[in-house]
Amino acid sequence: MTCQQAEPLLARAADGTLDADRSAALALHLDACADCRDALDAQRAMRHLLVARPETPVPLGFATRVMANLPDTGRATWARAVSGPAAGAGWLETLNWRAWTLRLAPVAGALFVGAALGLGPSTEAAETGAAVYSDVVTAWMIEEATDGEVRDLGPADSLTRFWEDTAETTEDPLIDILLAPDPQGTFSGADEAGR
Amino acid sequence: MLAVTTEGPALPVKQRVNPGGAAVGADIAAVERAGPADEARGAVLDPDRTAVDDARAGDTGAFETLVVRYQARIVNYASAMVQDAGAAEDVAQETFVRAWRGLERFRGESSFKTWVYRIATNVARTHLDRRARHARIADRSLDDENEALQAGDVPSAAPDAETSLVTREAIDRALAELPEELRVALVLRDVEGLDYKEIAGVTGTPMGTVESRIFRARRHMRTLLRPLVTT
Repeated sequence: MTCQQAEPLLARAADGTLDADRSAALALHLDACADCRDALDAQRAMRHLLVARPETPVPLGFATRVMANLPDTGRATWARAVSGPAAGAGWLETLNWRAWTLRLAPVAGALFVGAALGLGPSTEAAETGAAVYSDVVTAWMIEEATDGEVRDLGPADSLTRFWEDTAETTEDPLIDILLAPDPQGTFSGADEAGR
Repeated sequence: MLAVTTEGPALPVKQRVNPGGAAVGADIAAVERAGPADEARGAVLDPDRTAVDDARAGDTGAFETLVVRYQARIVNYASAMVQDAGAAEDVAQETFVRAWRGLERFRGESSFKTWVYRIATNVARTHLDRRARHARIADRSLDDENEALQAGDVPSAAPDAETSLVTREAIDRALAELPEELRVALVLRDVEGLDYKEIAGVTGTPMGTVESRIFRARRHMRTLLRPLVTT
């Protein structure tokens, strides 16, 4: 056996997967070859180091992201039509909730914005979450209108006074819209709810 | 005569966290316990057969089981191949998406494990090729030269937890210096623990070629990581 022939066997010998026949042949060669004995030691040391390499942790939510990004191959629909839900699958799985969550996200976003702007038929906005969102939106609008400067507007009817003050110094049509009568009382309700 | 052991190596076996459940882990462990004799017999015992069949029929829950079962392996493999955590996640995610898309063509001639590693290898290659092209376009060759592994960058062998991250980075940087075909074979064998037959299946090369590549890869790594090796 030459050193070149011994090399692939050294890789196997280093991790203990060399069969008995080739092991005996390699042992004969190693008896006579100091270089290959050194090479075997090096192979073992390197393997030992690599086997102990710390694993890279799986990012949080990895599997969920994979499942949310699966393309629609048409197989899932076909399988359910033919055999019904898989045994043991929950009703959430049966409804294919991941796909619906993604598809309905724009609708949910639109509803959120609508609620934040106080749109809709409710006259009880002050008692709902919409009032809270209105607070957030109006606070943002105030900050925008004042170029980031935060004003202390006082505790009473502060929002109305702010818009009136601002209207005196600007000709912004948005201000006119916001100062128009508010039959639903959304903004004033929001102001009260905020306190 | 110098004795050459034919027993399995007395090295720590990596325990991967498997949120998918103990039964799944037991199945995989049974296959992994199959030694060289089983490998020589060509025994194919695929613990993923049922889940693969269900997923191929459209059961996303079954496919999710496979993702959970292999996510640790594929993320770790991708990390060792591309040396970047964000890119590794992208590669791993793309691997599973391609697996889902290609399940109809998977005939079970190899195990699902071998198949998914083959996909991961191809995705990692594509990523590395693209990165190399961008590097050439940006003409960053001088920077790359400066970033080449220096002996002084490698920490001295110290097994405490604080150095584990540095150790992994040093190993990964050294792996990045290897020619791609050597890196694939070495990572699959010593980092991922695949047997030689599985590696031959993943890379589509004869077993002798795999043995030779692993020998050369370890020899190359030895020169790069000499400070980390204790012998």
